[in-house]
Amino acid sequence: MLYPTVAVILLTQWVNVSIPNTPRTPDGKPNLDAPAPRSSDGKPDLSGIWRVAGK
Amino acid sequence: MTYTLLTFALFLQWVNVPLPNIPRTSDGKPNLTAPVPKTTDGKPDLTGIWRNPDGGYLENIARGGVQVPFQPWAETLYKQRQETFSKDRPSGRCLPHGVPDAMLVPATPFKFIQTPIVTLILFENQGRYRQVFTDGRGFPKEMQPTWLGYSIGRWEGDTFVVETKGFNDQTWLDDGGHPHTDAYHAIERFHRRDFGHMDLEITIDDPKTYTRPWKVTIPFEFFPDMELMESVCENERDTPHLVGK
Repeated sequence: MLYPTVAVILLTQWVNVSIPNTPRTPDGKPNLDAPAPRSSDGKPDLSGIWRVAGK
Repeated sequence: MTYTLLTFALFLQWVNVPLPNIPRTSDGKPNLTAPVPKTTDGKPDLTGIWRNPDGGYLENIARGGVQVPFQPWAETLYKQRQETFSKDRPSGRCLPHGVPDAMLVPATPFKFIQTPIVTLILFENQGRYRQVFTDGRGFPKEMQPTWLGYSIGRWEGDTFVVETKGFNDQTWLDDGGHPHTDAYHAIERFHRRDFGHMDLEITIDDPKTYTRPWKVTIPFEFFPDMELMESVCENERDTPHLVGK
């Protein structure tokens, strides 16, 4: 199905910002398989930007 | 000036919620003159729901005799907006309020959520938000113009200083119609005086619109025991009823 009105705005906003506390692989890419971060009270910290995973 | 389209949603959402960590007087009421709460790192904690209950600033940000140094075209536009009772203001078409306009709508408060790396400002009005980054980043090298701009913050003593750039020219500074362009640079200085009172001194720097930077100070009150409500603008429904010359 096509969605003709979906518009993607990826112009020059804050994209490719190197966010601190993001675990990284040796080549500098974000390591999405690293352990879940924890908040100061020990709970998993869900903070961050998410999107539905692709196949 | 009157606004015929203000609607109030005060149904049974989370109102009169006795929130923890609110200092109280002996009769159980929120003590709005208690000391400013602090974060674990010793900074004033601005977290909570705030509003300016006086609609006067929404109507005219320069109330109280502030001299606005208009460029000639801007003064002409402002007068035209006044003469037409602001019928073309963006919010009348469900478009966003701007900075500081979005914080001045008395019927719809806003919420600060302060963290070490970002402070969120959630607006009940139309469910919009700002992010004020305090992680040390600067502005993007190029900024696609946006309605609420790009904000970075820092602390100067007990004052939270927020600089915002990268606006489009579509919002108004207030519903009265003070204009700005894409050169608008807002410098906001938030100072919480006590538990229940916070002042915003905003400097409006837009050389395309004003001959020099100018500033106003706007007081806010803490809105205790309350949560934000859902607010949806039903697009264009009220536009035919707007009146103006």
